[in-house]
Formats: sequence, C-alpha cells, structure tokens
Amino acid sequence: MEADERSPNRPGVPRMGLNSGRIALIYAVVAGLWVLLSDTVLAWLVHDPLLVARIGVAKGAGFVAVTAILLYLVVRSHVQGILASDWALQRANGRLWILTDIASLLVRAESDRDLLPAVCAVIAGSGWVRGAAYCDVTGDGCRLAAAEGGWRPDDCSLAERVLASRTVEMLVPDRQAGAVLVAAAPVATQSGALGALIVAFAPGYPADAETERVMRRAADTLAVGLASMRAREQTEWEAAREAACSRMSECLASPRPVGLVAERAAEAAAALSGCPHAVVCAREERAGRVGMWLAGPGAGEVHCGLDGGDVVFSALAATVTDQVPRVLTADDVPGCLCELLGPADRVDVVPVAVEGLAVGVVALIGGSPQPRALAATVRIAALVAEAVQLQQWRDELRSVNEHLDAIVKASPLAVISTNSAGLVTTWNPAAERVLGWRRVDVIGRKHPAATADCAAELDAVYRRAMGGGTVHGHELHWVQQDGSRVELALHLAPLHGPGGEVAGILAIADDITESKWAEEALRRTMKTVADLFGAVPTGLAIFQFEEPDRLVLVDANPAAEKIVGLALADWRGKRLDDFWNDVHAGAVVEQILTAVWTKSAISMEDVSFTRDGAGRCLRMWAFAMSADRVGLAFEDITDAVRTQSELHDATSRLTTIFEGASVGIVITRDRAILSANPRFYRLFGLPEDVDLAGIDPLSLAAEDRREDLLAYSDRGRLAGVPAAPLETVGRRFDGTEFAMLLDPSIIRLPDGNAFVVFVTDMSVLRKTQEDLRITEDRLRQTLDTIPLCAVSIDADGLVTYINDYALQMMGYSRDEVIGHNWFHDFVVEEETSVGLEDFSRQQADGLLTRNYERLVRTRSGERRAIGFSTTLLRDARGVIVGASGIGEDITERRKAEQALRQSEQRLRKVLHGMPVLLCAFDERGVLVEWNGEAERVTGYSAAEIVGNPRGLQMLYPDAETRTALISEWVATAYDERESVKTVACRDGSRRLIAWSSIASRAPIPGWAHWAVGTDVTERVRAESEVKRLNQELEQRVEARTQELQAAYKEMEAFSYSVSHDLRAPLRGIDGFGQALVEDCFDQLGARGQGYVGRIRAATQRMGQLIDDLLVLSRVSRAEIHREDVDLSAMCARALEELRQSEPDRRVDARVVPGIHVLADRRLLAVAMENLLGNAWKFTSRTPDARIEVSEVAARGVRCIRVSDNGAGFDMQYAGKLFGPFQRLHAADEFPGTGIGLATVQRVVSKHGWTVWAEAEVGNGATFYVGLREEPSSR
Amino acid sequence: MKRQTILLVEDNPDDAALTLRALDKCRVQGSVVVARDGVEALDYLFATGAHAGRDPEADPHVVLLDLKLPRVDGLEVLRRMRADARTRLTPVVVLTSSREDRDVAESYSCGANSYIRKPVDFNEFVEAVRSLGLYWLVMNVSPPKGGVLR
Repeated sequence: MEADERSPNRPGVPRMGLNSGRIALIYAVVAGLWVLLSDTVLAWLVHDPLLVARIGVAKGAGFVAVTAILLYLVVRSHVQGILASDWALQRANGRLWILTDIASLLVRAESDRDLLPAVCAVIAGSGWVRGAAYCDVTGDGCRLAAAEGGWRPDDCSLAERVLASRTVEMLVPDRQAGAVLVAAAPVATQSGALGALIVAFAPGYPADAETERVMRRAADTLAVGLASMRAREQTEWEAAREAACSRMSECLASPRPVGLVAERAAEAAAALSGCPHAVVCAREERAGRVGMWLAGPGAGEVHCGLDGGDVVFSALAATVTDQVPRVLTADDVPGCLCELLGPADRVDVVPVAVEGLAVGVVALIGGSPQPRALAATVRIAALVAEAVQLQQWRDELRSVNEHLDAIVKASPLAVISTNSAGLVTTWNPAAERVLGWRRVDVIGRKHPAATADCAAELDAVYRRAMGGGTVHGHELHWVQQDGSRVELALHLAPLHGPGGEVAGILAIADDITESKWAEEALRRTMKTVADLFGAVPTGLAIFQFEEPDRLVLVDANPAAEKIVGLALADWRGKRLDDFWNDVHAGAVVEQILTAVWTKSAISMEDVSFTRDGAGRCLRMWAFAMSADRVGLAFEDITDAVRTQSELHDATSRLTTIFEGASVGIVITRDRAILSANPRFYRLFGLPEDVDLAGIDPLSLAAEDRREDLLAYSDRGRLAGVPAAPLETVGRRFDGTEFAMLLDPSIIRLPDGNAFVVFVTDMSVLRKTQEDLRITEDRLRQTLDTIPLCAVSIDADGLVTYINDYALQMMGYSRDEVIGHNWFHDFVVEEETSVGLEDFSRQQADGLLTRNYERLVRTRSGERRAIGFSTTLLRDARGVIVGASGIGEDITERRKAEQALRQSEQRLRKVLHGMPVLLCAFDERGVLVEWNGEAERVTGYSAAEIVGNPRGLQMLYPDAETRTALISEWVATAYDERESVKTVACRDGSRRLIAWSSIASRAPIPGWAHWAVGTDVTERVRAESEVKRLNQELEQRVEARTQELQAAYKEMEAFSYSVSHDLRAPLRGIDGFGQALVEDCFDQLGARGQGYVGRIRAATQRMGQLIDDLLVLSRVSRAEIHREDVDLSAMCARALEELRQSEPDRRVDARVVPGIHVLADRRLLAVAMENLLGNAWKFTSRTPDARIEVSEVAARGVRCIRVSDNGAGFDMQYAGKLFGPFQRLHAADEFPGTGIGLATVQRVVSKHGWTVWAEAEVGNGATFYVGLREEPSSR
Repeated sequence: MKRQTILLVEDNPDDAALTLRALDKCRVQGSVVVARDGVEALDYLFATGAHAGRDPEADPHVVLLDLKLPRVDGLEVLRRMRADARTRLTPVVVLTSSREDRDVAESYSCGANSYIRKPVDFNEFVEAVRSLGLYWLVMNVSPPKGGVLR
C-alpha cells in the first residue's frame, strides 16, 4: 500500500477513490443484470399477464427503495468523513505549531546539533509518540539523530520530502505497523544547514488535547534546558579566554625581540589546552624576509621556512580579506597545514590584522567548530600583533627622542617642558641663559620666578596651556635670578598623553629685550617726525617717481592740505602736473624736476596757484629726498603780498586826499610848518614855489591875532589834546585878510606828535548864514499862512511861537498864547498830564519826530482834535531846547470816524448776535469771521477757530468732503443758496447747516469767501420724520383701502345674490299661489282664497323689502360724484311722479325754486324721493295735505327743509327714526318697509351732511338736511 | 302663419313653469323650447350636442334668457350668439331677477335687445310676458333668415 500523496491533508481516508470505483462497478453490474434478467425471469415464472404486471410494479418499487437506502448511507458517511477530516486538519495544524517551536529552539546554534538525540528522546517520551528524529540533509549524505531505541525513519528521503513540499503530516509506510502517521517541520540553521524534525505517532493515537499538552511540556522543558546549557558554556568560554589572555600578557612582558611571535604563538596555543585542533599561525619579518610560524598544542612548533612561509601565509590571508571567519574546504587548505595536521575536511579560519595589515590567522581544523577555542585564538593573535607593533614603536620612539634631545640642546631658544604636576622636566642651555636659572636648580621643581608678578603671569599662561589652548608670542617682562631684567616672548603648547589628556606643557622662550628697545627708539623717532610733519605751518608734500618724468603725490601734511585746499585722501596718487592748471604749470614742474635731477634744493617765489576759484600765491622750495622722491615745502604768501599792496594803495590815497582836499591842511610841529597842501597855498595866495617848511605858522595870521593864536596853540600843545575850532583872521600873501576857521588835531608820527590844522575860508560861510536867515524868515511867513496849526514850545512847555492859523482856530490873540504853558492852558484838562508825559518821554528818548493827537480847548470852550507832528528843537550844541509841532484840525474827521466806528459796532453786534451762522475765509482758506451763532451751533469759539489754519478741517474732518466742498465753491463761484452741509461740532456731534453765499456778487475785502448759514438739523430731522410718517400713513391707508375693497367686493357679491336668489322663490310662491287660485278656484273656497291672497301679499311685501334693502345697500356702496344739482327741479319731478301714481289726491306741494346743492345726483334723488314719498304717504289722511320744500338756515348751516302737515310722530321716538326697519306707524295705517329713512340717513351722511326731524303727532313732520358745504361749493 | 319658436333659457323649474304659464295665459302663438342651462341653450341654437339634427325650421324667433345659469351663464350665451352669424340678429330678451345696474349695462353692451326684470307679483309677471310676447312675436319684424347680406 502506498500513501495517497495528492491528498496529504486528509489522513485517515485511505484508498477512497479505488474503493468507490469498485463499489460503483459492482452496483452497475448488479443493477444492469437485474434490469435485463428480472423481467425475463418473471415472464418465465408467471404466465398470467395481470400478475406479471403487478409483480413488475412491486419489483420496480422495491428496486427504487433499495437504491434510495443505499444512496442515503453513502451520503451520510461522506458528510461524516468531511467533518472528520476538517477536525483532523485543525488538530494537525496545532501540532505543527508546537513542532515548529521546538525546531526553532533547537537550531539556534550549530553546536546544538549534539543535543538533538536528547531532544528527540524527550519528545519520544511523550504519550502516543512512537519516536522523534532529526534528519540533516545538507552535504553529502543524510545524518540522522534519533532517540535511542525509538522509531526512526529508514533514510533521509522522508526529510527531503518534507523540505520539498513543506508537508506537515503524512502517512508513511512502516515495516512493523504497515503505516505510521508522522508530523514534520523543516528546520534551517544559521550556518545554512537544512533538515527536518520528524515526529511519529503511535498507531491509533487519539490526537487529542492531551498529546498537544505533552508536546508543549516537552518544548518548554527543552527551552529551559537549552538556556542553562548555553549559559554554562558561555561562562566556561569566558574563563578560558581570560586565562589565555593573561598567559599571553605574561609572555609578552619579557623582552625577547627575535622570534618573539613564534614563541608567543606557541605559548598561546599551549594555553588553549581545551582546543586540540587549534592552530596559531603568525608572520614575522626577520632580516627583511617573511617567515611563517605555525603552532598548535598537539603539533608543537613548526617553522614552515622563510621562503615557503610567505607563500602559505599569503594563501591563507587571501581567504580572509574581509576579516570575517570563514569555512574552507579541503581544497583550500594549504599543503603544509595538511602535513602538520593531517587531512581535514573543514578548516575555520579567523584573520588577525593590525592596522589593516594582516599579520596572522588562526585556523581551527576539524569537523566540529569550537567557538571557545576560535575566539580565544583570535584574541591571542591580536595580542601578538599588538606586541610586534609595540616593539617597532618603541624603537622608533627611542630614535626620535635622541634626535629631539640634540635639537633641544642646540636650540638658541629656551626650551622648557613641565609635566602635568607643573614640575620642570626639560631645561636646555638656552633656557639657562635666557631665564637665568641653572638646569640643575630647576629640574623636577616648579618653574622658578624672581618676582611675584612674573610668577603670577607665568602661572596664568601655563594654566591656559594646561586647559588645552596654545599660547603664541606672549610677551613677558622677566626678572632673572640675579635681578637683571629681560623681555621674553613665550610660546606654549600643551603636551598630550596617550589618552589625549594634557600631560604637560612645552614652553619656548625667546629673549627679545634688544629688539624691543630698538623698536621703541624707532617708534619714538617716527612719532617725532610725524608730529613735526603734522604741526609745521609750512606745507610739506612728498612726491615719488612713478615713471622717469612723472611724479605722483604720496604724502602731504595737514598744512599742505590747508594751503592747497585739497584732501590728501582725494589727491594721493595724483600727478604733480595736475596741481597746476594754468600756463605756468610746465615751468614750475620743470624747475622741480631740475631740482631733483641735480639733487639740489631750489626755492621759487610767487608761484601762482588757484584755490576755490581765487588766485593764490605760494613761496615754494623743492628738494630731493632720495633717488625717487622729492619733497616740496611751500607757504601761502597771498595775504602778505596783498597787505603790501594795500599799504601802497592807502598811501597813495592819502596823498591824493592831501593834495586835492578842499580845505587847507597844514602840518606843524613846534611852531614850524612841516608841510601844507595845495589848497592851503591857494587860501593864502602863496606861489607854488614858496617852501613853507620850517616857517612859523603864526606869520600867516593877521598881525593882531597872532598873540591869541599863540596862546591857543600853546594851550593845545600843553594839553596834548586838540583845542576847539577857532575862528580867526588870516593874512594872504598879498596882504589881504580873510576870516578863517582853524580846526586842529593831533597826529602821532614816528618821531613825535604833530598838529594837523584844517583851515577853512569862513568868508563863504558867512554869506551862507545870511542866506539862511532870509530863508528862515520866508519859512516863518509860510508857517503863518499855511492852514495848519504850528506851535513851538520851549523845554518847559511855554509857547514860543504860534502861527496865525492856530490862533484863528483857537480864538486867542498871539499875546494871550505866547509865554503861556501849552499843556496847562490850552490842552484840555484830562490830556494835560498825558501831554506832559509824552513831551518828557520824547525828550528823554531824543526822538526827533513824533505824532500825537491832542484835544485843544478854544477860547469859546469848544474842544478840537489836533493831530500834531512834533519835532524836537535843539540848539547848536544839540541840547534840546523845546519842540515844535505842526498839526491839522482833525475834529471833523474824528467825528466821522466815531460815527463809522459806532456803525461798525452796531453791525458787528448784529452779525455776532443774529441767529444766523456767519463765517468768512481769507485767500488761504483760513477762517477770519465766526459769529456768535456759529459758536453756539458748532461749539467752537471764535478764539480757537478764527485764524486757525486747521479751521476748515475742524469743521469738515473728512478730507474728501473738504476737497469736494472747495471744488463746489470754485464751481459755483462762491454763489450758493441753501446748500446743506454736515458740519462736525466740538462735542463730536454732526449738525446740518444750510449755507448761502453771495460772496461773488457781494465781495467783502479781506473775506475771500463768506457765507451765512442756518442750522437745519432739526428741520431736516423733522422733515424726514414727517416723510416717514406720511409713508407710514400711506401704507396704512393703502392697507385699509384694500381691506375696504375686499369687504366691498364681498358685499357686492352678497347683494347680487340677494337680488337674484332671494326673489326667485318669492316669485314662485306668488306665481303658484295665483295659479292655485285660478286653477283650483272651486276647491279652495272663500277661506282658501283668502289665505292665498295673504300669502301673495306677504310675498310681495317681502319683495318690496328686498328691493328697499338693495337700494340701501347700493347707496351705502355708491361712490360720491358731486356736481351742481338743481334740487328744486328734482323735487318737482318726484312730486309729479307721486301725483301721477295717485291722480285722485289733492296735495298742495310747493317747492321753492332755485335751490342748488353740490351733491351726487343719483343719491340725492333717492333721498329726496324717499323724503317726499314719506310726506306724500303720511299726508294721505290729511284733508288739506300740504308738502313744502324750502331752503332755510338752521343749527348754523344751510338746510333743505321738507315739511308736511301729515300724521307726524311722537318726538319721543325721533332717535329711532333713521334706523332700518324702524317704523312709527302701523303697516295697515301707512304701509312701508321702514328702510326709506335709513336710506336717507345713509345718503346724507355719505355727503357729510346731517339730517334730523321735528314732528308732533297729528301736526305733520319736518325734515331738515343740514348741508355742511365747502365755502366754494356754490 | 307658421308657429313661431320661443327659446326659454331658465334653470329654475318654478320660473320656467311660471313663464310657460304666463305665455300660455297670454295666448302667445309659438312653441316654447326650454333649455335648462347655457350649454343646452347653445346646443339648441347651433343644433349641436343633444339637439344635433333638429328641425332647421325651428330656429327660435326670440330667446328669453336668464342671466344666472349653470355651466355657461346668460351673458356668455349672449356673447356667443352675437359672435355667430346665424344668431347674430336673433332677438334676445334678458329675463332675470337682478336689477343690478351692472347686469343691465352689461347685457345691453353684449347685444341684448331687451331687459326685463322678473317681478315678484305674478300678475305683473304675466303682464310683462304678455307684452314681450306680443312685441317680439307679433309686432316685431324678424330679420331675414340666415342673416343679412354683407
């Protein structure tokens, strides 16, 4: 029997397909035979056809029943089978998970393979498990691990099948049990090994929860056991590694340079006693060649030879380029290894590298990898490599140290080093010299310092270096041990220990004393030169050759900048030629170049130069400074040159004055003439050739005046000040005499004081004075006659002069005025003190002219206003002697002005107080007028808004509004009327002002624009309120109208319906009543006919009622169209109709003709017909019936009166008279519906009139219609 | 003289009976056709509907027309009559209970020849019918049949 491989998930249903086929075949054969033969047999057995048919039916039924039963059984078993297989599948899945768990526990490490038999035993120990096995199918063959004595698969084919199909459960053939159910899970390890864990179950196992529980327990136990086993292995491995490492450290401690690696390798291998197959293999350079050492505890030491070793090592190293453990196949293992270790099918190689250079390998040979040994050997190999490297470094270090010592000793710089404790470790000979301490005194001690300052500074620097920083060029003022001072430059750098920490300081010191001193001296010199350069008033400029004949400015001092007027920054690098822009440039530059070439100094005077557009003059020196530099020194001598020239000019001017003066000038000293001008010659008629030098000036005076003159001149000379001018008489050369005025003054000459005497010919002056007197006389005459008041007073206020006009005006004679005090006697009392004050103030101020207005009292007591223009009078010495005034009588003008002022004040009061705003703007748009009303309305006082440039803005804060406003002004040419503007008030409110302006038509000077306004805020508000109310009212009226129209429509429909439908049945009653009487006259009898008659009468009465009501309703609905109606004619017509209706009655009906009313013709006709109809009716029993229509005045209005002398009525019921259906008489007495007067009332009230009645029972009734008419109605 | 046809259009059977009685009492020489509403009246006038195929000689010489009618009211009947050439000239007497000015005015404007208000008093009614029958059937000269020549 074979397993059905195509249905592996359905264990327990073997050979189903085959069995089913067989059963189906048997069934087909049996059934076929039955069908074929049963009838034949039956026909053969039974001959009665009826019986045959019955039996045939029973047979068919029996066949069907049998078949149905069989089919039921088959279907039931099939359903059970499906259910069973589903259940089995679920269980199988549960087991598989457990199995997978176990497998994953097993294969965490390659080494766990050893545990597999034990694990399988644990699993096999569970109930219902026949056995467990692990099949490893990698490599060449199958390796089986299974529990001892239990079930195991025959070979690995089962595992291969599991791996191929990932099958979880299947039936496998078994020799003993025939078939056994197994569960299997594929297993893959980290090293790539692939296998399967297979568990076989005992035959007939229930595969219930118990089994799974057992398996789960086994898995848990397994997990705990594995964990403890791994922990123990780990501990052992750590211990072994520690031991190997300590052993290697001991080995490396003693220096054995040659063969070191080999020895260590061997020792390390020996230490790995637990790893018999470990090999340490290392490379060593010896005499420039590479050797290969192999060492192993079992094999001892093997030297592969210097030549061959390299080859072997390379072969191994090539396999481990990435320093990753790797498995080699037998082919990869080098032959020498094979020789050493025997043939091996598997070598695990671990590379050992130092700084990227492979120095060795550790190989583990054998089938079973041992991680402990492998790791230990790796560590050992690393230590070996480290040792080799260390030895190399030591050698190099020694060599470097030797070199370094030599350098330090020979260095001219002081080299010092300290350790981390700050103790000196190096102190070279230069340090002894520079720092002044001997080496032996400082080594192993703190760094010495002579003073506390030095120590502190040094300490700070060292600390900085200890902090990891570098100090470069720190200058130190150092005091040596013997007290001598040096300047040091210190350079410090931290020395780092192996771990990167600062282990000490390296310091280098340099003696810079001399260089510092030289620097200082140089700096001082440079500063002196620079100070000089900057301070000298002479301009200095240094030019340098840029090309053989081209000098450019390199430097200039401030004086040069000042003189030339150019900033050095702008002109540095400019050419020498550029400094001269005039025609002399070439020559100047030529001279300077010559000075340079000849290496000499030259000086140049008057070098012209232009600065700020003005010509300047320089004095200049040029001198060669070095081969390529030339210096220019220059002074600005412009001012000196100018002074000289001005002096020359002044002298020549003086000479001209002296020569050409129109007064005689003579200069004397010690009564001797030094010189005299030509005018002097001419005054005295002296010939030009007369030399006056040394002549006594007195000789030129008239002889009788000489003594006076002598005294005069002596006085002046002795006093040392010039005497006052003296008028005396001179004698001309020809002996004639003339009046002359001497005016001496003293001048200081280099050789002493001298007198300059100005001599004026007075004869001309005298004549002039005479002319003046005549002029004065004329002036006085003029003053006397002009129509102005002219008054002169002296310093005390006494009148000295008064002209005729003034006298005439004041009504005084001259004698009454002259000598009297002007202020006390002629000025009105209240102005006396003011006048005196003004006069004394004018005197004190010395003002020549002043204008006053004075009220002067005339002789008649009249007051006159005089506008005076007063002038102070001075004598020849300038002393104020009085004042004179010329005044105009301005009394009339003052009066006119007063009147004007009052008028203006009135106007102003009106403007200010009027209840109209007034504002005015000047040309700039500034408010200049703002009256009281404007203040009241806006709240802005005139004080704050008038003249305020922001005035307009205060009133109209919105800029757009202002712009619009101004454009509007311009557009309307300041002509507007009731232009409403919103003005901002002081309290933030807004007021509406209606402005009107006629500024263009009524221009007012100073008011560019002016306007008056009224505050219409309330008015506008009220208007808008009225408008709103009106709208509201209109809306309400509209609504009410609509309501009324609806009601009207309704009523109309009602009336129409009444008119139509109410009458039709009445007509039927009446008509058929009549028909009854006509057609059934005999049957009815007299009584019946009477009843019918009553029915018909009632019907007609009803018809009348309806008609009357319709009239009433129509009247109520009717619209009034008033027109002029001739009431008299209307009444006459109505009476005529009444008369025709009852031609037998004799009624005296009178209508006053010519009554006209303004009324709706139709409605009025209805009313009058009713009134007259009533009158007609109620007079029917009156013998002398009388009806009268007239026009009277009653109750204050015009009335239409309709009166009769009929039955009348009791006034007690007058109130009910006009109600509908109200009747005051019995129907059989006077027929009627009681609606007529209601209709009249309706018509009258629709016209806005009134109606009332006066009556007395038996004495007739009078109806009045009071017409309340509009006056224009007639 | 041939019997003349009167078309009475009246929805109220009482009124119709009274009218017939009045006509009878007045010995009006003519056969009376009663139409109960406007549609029936129009059917008779234009020989349509229930009256299709009636004797063309039985065209009414006068139409007594109530205004308030079911379905199509009297004014509408009048309007349609006047819109049709066959009945444009047929005399129409409006015989109604209404005395509304509006009804009177509208009837005449639609082309009624006469407007008679049915009085409640049967005697008056008889008198009115008598006079109208006398007038329209006896005194009045009917327009030529088929309308006037245009």
